[in-house]
Amino acid sequence: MTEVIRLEGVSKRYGGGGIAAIQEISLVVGKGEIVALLGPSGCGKTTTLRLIAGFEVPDGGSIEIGGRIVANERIFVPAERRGVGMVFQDYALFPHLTARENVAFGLHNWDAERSGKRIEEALDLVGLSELEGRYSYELSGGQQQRVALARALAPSPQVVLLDEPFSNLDADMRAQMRQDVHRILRQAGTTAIFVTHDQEEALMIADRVGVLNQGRLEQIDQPDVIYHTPATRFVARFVGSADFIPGLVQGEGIVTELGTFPNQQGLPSGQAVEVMIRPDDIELVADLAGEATVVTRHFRGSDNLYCVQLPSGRTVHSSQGSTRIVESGARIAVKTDPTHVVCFYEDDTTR
Amino acid sequence: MTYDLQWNILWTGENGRWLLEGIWTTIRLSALSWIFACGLGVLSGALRTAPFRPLRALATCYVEFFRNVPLLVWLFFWYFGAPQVLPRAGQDWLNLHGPEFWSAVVALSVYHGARMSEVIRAGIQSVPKTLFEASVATGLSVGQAYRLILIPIALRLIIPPATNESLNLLKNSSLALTIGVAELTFMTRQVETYTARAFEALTAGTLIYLVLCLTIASVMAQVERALRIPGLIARGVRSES
Repeated sequence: MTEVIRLEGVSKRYGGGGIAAIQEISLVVGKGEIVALLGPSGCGKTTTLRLIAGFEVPDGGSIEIGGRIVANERIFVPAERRGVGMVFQDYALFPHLTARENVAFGLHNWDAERSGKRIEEALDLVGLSELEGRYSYELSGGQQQRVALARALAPSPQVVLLDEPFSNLDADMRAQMRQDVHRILRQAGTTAIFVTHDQEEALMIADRVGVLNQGRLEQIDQPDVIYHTPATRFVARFVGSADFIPGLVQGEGIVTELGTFPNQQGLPSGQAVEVMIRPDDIELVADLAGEATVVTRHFRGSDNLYCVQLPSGRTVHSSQGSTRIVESGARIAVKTDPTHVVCFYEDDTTR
Repeated sequence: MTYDLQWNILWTGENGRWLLEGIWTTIRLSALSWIFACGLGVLSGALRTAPFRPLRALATCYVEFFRNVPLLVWLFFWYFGAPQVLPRAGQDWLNLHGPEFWSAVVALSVYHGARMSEVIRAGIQSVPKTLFEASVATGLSVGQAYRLILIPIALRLIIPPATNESLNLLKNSSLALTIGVAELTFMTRQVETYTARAFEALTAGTLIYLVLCLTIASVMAQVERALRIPGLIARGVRSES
């Protein structure tokens, strides 16, 4: 796999060495890969993107694009010479130019014939050939987004960076644009990094998801790996939802009040751990003599989210089908699926 | 005693020609100064927002120096003071081409250029930052981003305050009479002196300034209408289709 982006130990502080926006971030993105940077607001994901784009100067570490160092302690290549495409949250279309003129902008150094052809290709790729003469105020949000993407893709950049690309769209348009943008990026074979706070978006579109928290990259891996084997409690909670119940390692098993889980990682006997339980791992079994009690039920359309109190007083969450109704206060038995277990030491985040 | 209005003094004898000459001088003085003031204003206004500190500092010095001295003082400075330190050739050129007029042009240009600069800076700063970033991300140099994106958009945004500034410039050109430029106010006073008809002469001057200013305002309003970008000023974004 050819490397397109390499970050090594990149740090950035704001306000004269004050608050660390990102700390020691290392990250490699391969050619054609789509990587999502996911995290809550203020986690440093946008700063990371802006550092790659060249809008910020790092305080430490190095950034390479296409094998060329663009930023380290001595070198700083400005944004206009990095050959990256950028799609902004507000699209940032040039309002005094038509869709076509916007797309043409990145090709100002090309000869007329080649750039004309390339503009057609880019507009065609995003399905906007018909609307090339329109100004941005004559386009819907989704169409503006496509123009922005065509403008970013037209010069065939080594990497396209997308900052919260879908957050300004209505819910139904967002679902549509996620699919379209994914298809367009794939079709163009472009390497892409996008920033989002929406885990569903990250899991759906990205080949790999990097989860950031308080300026640190907590984990970067394929979406299913992130979901099923989160590296930290933060990742477990932020990607999907999770409850943690205490357990004790006893030989081949980890004993908890939800039953005994296999000790897949070979943890030493006597070790106290916390086992991560996802709502879809917990089955509720109708049992009038059951030891658990239903506390609340929240209908979420595609499922019901139950909060269930265990005999110890601890509560866990369970996702049940949208037609499965159990009244609050009902006694119930709780069953878990012990096939995949993730447990954390109690005192820190190490698995 | 009733004052006997004699409007015909405005076009009898030399008076009509004087007033017309005054109007023409006011227009030439204002138009030339306006062009230089806009040039200085765009340049220094853009530099005030430039991503390089020394350029910003330079532009700030220009603005603060020239807008914080009264225009009258600038007129005296450029008429009585500055020509004395000019090289011989410069002095000769000035004496040949009317030193009063050109001193007034310089004074009005630098003073209103500094004021225009602030208007332009505000315009540039109200353009969303992402537009600048989008320009450099597509490979434009900082200079190109200003020339092709930021300044064209900013100029559209600032037409109303720039109109205001332009009207001020035209009105302030009347101060040039203090250094002997035979512009409209000067000529109005001359008509008044020769005819002793102060009311008629000054009423004529007043109305001529009013007509000039209203003409400028209406032309600028049409320019604004022709160049406006709907989504940018009135945030009228079309809904999803």
